[in-house]
Amino acid sequence: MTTKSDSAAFDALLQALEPEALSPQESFRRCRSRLVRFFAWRRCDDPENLADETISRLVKNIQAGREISADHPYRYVRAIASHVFYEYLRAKKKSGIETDIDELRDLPAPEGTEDCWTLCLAQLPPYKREFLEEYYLDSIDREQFAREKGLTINALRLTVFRYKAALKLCVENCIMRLSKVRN
Amino acid sequence: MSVEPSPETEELITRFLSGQLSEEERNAVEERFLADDDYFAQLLVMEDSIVDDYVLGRLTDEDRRNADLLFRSSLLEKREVKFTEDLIASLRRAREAKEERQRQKKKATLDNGEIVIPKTSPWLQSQASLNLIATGLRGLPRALSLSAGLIALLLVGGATYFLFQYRRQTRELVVQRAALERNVQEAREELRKEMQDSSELGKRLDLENKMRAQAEEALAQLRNREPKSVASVILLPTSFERGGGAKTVSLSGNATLLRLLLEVPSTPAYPTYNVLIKTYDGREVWSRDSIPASQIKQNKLSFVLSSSVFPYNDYRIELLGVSDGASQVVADYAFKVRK
Repeated sequence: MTTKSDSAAFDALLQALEPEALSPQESFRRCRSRLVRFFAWRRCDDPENLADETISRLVKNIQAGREISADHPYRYVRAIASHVFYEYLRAKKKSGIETDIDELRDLPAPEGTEDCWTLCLAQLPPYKREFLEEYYLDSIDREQFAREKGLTINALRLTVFRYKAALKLCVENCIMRLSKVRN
Repeated sequence: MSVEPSPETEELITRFLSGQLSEEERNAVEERFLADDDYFAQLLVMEDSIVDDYVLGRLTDEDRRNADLLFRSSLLEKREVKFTEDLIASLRRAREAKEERQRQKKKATLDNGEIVIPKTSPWLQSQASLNLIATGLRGLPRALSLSAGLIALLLVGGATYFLFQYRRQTRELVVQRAALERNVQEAREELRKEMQDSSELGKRLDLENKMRAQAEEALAQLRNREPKSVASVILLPTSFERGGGAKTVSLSGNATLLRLLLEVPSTPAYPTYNVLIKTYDGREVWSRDSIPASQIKQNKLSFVLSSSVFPYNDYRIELLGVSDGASQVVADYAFKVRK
């Protein structure tokens, strides 16, 4: 059972983990996102589940009154995540079942996804759309493309990343609205 | 992301994502990206860049094998790749659709017979034509080639003249078209303003109609009330003499209104009538035009006027019948006001 003081302690930990976050919810989202990547980059087949397991153990430890260093709170989080990872490896070895990625099929794209893509691309300012078109469709070497645009390679990567992030948000929202309308 | 990564950091991140670091190095990278926002962002950007290279087939065989291990390890990574593949497919569709629209537009332009300025410069076109002619002339006998050369020169001269004329006319047409477009735009703007003005006029007209209706209502109420302070007089058609035939109206202090009842001859009848009241020295006191014949009841035309209009004086009334825009004197009346 989580008491009020446990909840306050967890909020305080989140605050220590993500001091720039504006709310405990945002702190949680940012912390979870890092943990998901932690497991994904260790090639785990279910990084989201392992990240949630790590957070769950973190909460249990706080409820048990475990002291966490305020100087390096993520060290503690990483230590728990590493335990979870080794347990995952052991369980996988014990079961003897190798994960076949081709069996991990995502849900089929919902109807209207293509329309959402068209809509979101159309909403993108023309200079951004043209930038992405040139980057992906014209067979130009990345270094040359960056030079033509007056960017460093890293600035080019960052620009593409940001445009894609905006598009991803747009497409996801569009698909969500579509499914709401259908339901 | 505020700071660009150094080449060493970039290399370390790439090796980390490719799974090529020792456990110690990997722990150091993990510890750092968990605690450092910028570093975490750099990792995400670099991973996205590898996804692009992976999808676009720009990786070496070894890098591709390493990337395969990462992108085929979980649904999360698989989705990253799928997103980029979908993006490229959508961009391709959008570009094809755009090109198709441009082709159709171009076709429509040509079908409409619009003037299309050639993309090749006139000079290059002329030069190409001259080259062709010169090649043809070289194959002819000398005498014939002189005549043919002369003809060709004339033709070239003519063609050049017509080409310049064509260019000049094209420019003029372009200028005229721009001017026409400006005119259309101005006309639209004027029309819009006029519509706005007419709308305002309509509002004013409505307001005036309302005010008039209120005034008429007030007048009707005034008529219905028939206050005691109304002085009435029935006037019969008379001669223009200022003599004793004129009736005398006594407007005492409490008579604020004067009701005039004019006896109207039954023939000839007119559709409308004008009434004009003047003093004998010709000063116009009151008038009303276009009174419909329907206002004549039992051969009498009635008006209620403010007594203040009629100071002590002798007055004459002219009744005019109006038909087809022409007016005719129907009758004259005379009365005196005494206070």
